[in-house]
Amino acid sequence: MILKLQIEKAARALGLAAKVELADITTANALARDADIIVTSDELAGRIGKVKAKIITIKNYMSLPEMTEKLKQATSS
Amino acid sequence: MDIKELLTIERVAVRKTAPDWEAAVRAVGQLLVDSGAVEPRYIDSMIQTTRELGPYIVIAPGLAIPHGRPEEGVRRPCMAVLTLDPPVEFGNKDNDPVSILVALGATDAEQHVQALQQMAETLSEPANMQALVDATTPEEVTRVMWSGSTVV
Repeated sequence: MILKLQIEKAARALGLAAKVELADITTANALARDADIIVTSDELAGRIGKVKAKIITIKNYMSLPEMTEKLKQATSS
Repeated sequence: MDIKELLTIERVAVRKTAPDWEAAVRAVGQLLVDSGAVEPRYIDSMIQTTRELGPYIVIAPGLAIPHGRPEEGVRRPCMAVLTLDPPVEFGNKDNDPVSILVALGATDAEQHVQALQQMAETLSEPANMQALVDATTPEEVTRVMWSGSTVV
């Protein structure tokens, strides 16, 4: 939930129209089929499995600069 | 709900010691139990969740947010803060050691959004994180944590 709030904030700052949906580790795989980007922590990234979506891992959930930077990279490449 | 409604002053303890992460999680969970917001079994749920999902609950340098499952004993939405001196290792390679625990008890996700937003706003300021670490009284903690509140 904190990640969702931070993603929305960072997306606004970047001028991206993002639709952010929350998933826990058990539902992430199913939801990820329709997602472009998955944002998670290092700790959980390894448990998501094989998906088409890009995975961004966040170390500091409280850092808007980290989120903005990583989101920018993922959407520009 | 506003952060002031979730985090009441009796749910704050400062400068505690804990031998390991589990004791620290139990201590912050106990604050929720003592205030009547959760049943004692919620503490076990917090420990279980932390074990299952690993040290991902350490979401920022020095900050952990232990929480359990809503259906495992949450009576009403709540938040507690415990600071540790000395800090404790949770096994998170980026963000250890932990000196601030913010325990969450949610009944549903939506009720929490506003308070979490206020918390994220406050704790994204490094100076506020430091103020929590340095706090010697619960009043100092609530002053920082309530700074994002919209309730006067």
